[in-house]
Amino acid sequence: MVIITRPDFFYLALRSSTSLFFAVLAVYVCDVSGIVNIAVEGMMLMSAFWGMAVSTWTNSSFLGALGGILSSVMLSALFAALYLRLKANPIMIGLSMNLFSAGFTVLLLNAFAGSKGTSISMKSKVLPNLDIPVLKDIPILSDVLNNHNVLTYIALVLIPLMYFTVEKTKWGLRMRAVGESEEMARNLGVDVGRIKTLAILLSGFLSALGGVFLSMGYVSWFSKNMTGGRGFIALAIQAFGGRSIYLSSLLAFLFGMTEILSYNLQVFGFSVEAVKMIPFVLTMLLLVIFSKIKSQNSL
Amino acid sequence: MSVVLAFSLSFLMLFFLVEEPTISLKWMILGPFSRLSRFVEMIEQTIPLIFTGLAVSIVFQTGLFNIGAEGQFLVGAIGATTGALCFPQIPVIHTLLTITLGVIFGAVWGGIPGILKARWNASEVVSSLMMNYIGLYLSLLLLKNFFMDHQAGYVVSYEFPKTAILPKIFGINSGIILGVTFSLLLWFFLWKTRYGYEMRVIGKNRAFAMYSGIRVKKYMFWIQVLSGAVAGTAGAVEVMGTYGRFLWQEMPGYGFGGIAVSILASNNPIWIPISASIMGFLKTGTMIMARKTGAPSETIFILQSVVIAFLSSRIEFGRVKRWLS
Repeated sequence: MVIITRPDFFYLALRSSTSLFFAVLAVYVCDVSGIVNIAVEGMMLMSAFWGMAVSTWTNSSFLGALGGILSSVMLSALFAALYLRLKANPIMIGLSMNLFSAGFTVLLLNAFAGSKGTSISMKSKVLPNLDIPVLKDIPILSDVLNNHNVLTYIALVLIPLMYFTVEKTKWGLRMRAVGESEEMARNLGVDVGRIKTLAILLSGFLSALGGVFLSMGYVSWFSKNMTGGRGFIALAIQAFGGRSIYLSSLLAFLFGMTEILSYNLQVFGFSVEAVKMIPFVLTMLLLVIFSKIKSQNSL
Repeated sequence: MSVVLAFSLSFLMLFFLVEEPTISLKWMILGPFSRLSRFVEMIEQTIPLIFTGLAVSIVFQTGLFNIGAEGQFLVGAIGATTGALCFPQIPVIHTLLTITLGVIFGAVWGGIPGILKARWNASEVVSSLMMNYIGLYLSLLLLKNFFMDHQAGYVVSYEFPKTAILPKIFGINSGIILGVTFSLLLWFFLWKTRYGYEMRVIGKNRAFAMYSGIRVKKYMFWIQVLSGAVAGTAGAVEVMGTYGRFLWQEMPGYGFGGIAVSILASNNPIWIPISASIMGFLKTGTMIMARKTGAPSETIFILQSVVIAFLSSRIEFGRVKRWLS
């Protein structure tokens, strides 16, 4: 395991955890407002697809990203409507949206690119990497932190920003109040529906960034089910990190590291399935440990 | 009313999404009835949905979730595969042992989220989602390392010996009898026994159940075990009755399909065989459409998602009218 001491390992780990950062943020804003959002997975998938499609058609990565974001925000608006207007159970809505995205993206992929697996005939425009002037000159740090995709930097900025929003601003306070007790928030004059709608839409936007990164940064194509459970892992990470988004982000980074490590394990002859199982087993263990600690504290 | 709306909306959506909509939809709707073999296929698609629908419905009755039927199905199937290929080939006994192993595998897979929920209050939604993926990769791992038939040309297990195969009735997997029996038994269990009554009380009002002395945590665990066992049976019946080998390489979709089935039957076991037939018909329809027109068979997910979304929403039509005007 010499590889973990090399700076490019951390570079790759940061790269592979980017979409998970966004997914965790998306789950976080909903969780704070007391909504279980398992639709993050589907929203990511949808935006990954539209990001690829729009960027291929317009030849512009910016418009592609915009298209991806729009698709996911529309899904989240539907989520909000079903949840708040029609009083559907959020878990059911999430399930339905994940299924819908899984079917819809493959159907459209077949219609647009003539393929049911990977968009070979459609290459998405990749969002640019940033070369940061000052950072570039610091020896080891530059290898790890410089020249990342623009979305990776956005993720790193959004983590403290979302923390600040939730913990220190008026809107964040309202979100937390709604999350703690809807009735109390309502008595205090908070428009619960509005806060929840806002949280869901924001969550859709954040999921979209994660999805767009997958198809327009991490790789330059769309493939069926390319989110591969990242939205669900984010859900478990968030359950562990709770209100502390820094802890959650650290865990997300840990998962990024695991992913890169597991590629190396594959080289050493471990079977693909065993390697693919690792992040999920890890999540399960985290969940067990977390629940155990939490239930002991509450006793 | 919601049901009609859900189906018409999804068909409308398909009409705009697939190429040559009239031909595609014709294949989809009439396809399952166009040939005897396709009709048999439809019934065989219905069988696993009966089991997974039942598995999901009993958990929903207690107000909990089981999103892990997908994984429990696969693990049950690989359990049965293990039994079929490893146990001695004694008629009848081999069949029973094989199906039992599938049931046990499924029960364990359902029991893990169950015990985590009951003991430490870990969200069964998150853990069962994780168990789906672990189940998928574990099954593939076992398949590729121990049971893979290298002569078949694609990734499938060896064919099962005759002693591990369920008999066919008129060319149909006899698992259907087991499925219908299960649905009657579970209906009886839920509505006519004390345990079932207590479970439904938990589903209606968990706090009330706790105060009236029902051991809620115990139920939380055992219901997931039971549900996992039923979903595991689905996997076992599928490999033993329909295919005679293990042949999946990705999530087969029966677990999530089961959720749609359960909701369509308003989580009542007695209606599950009927709602499973409807979903089985749609699934076969999309599969035939996929073969005939090249549209992807994943289209079924769209139909299922619309059913779930519509039927879990409390649509009051008076309000909808006001909303629209």
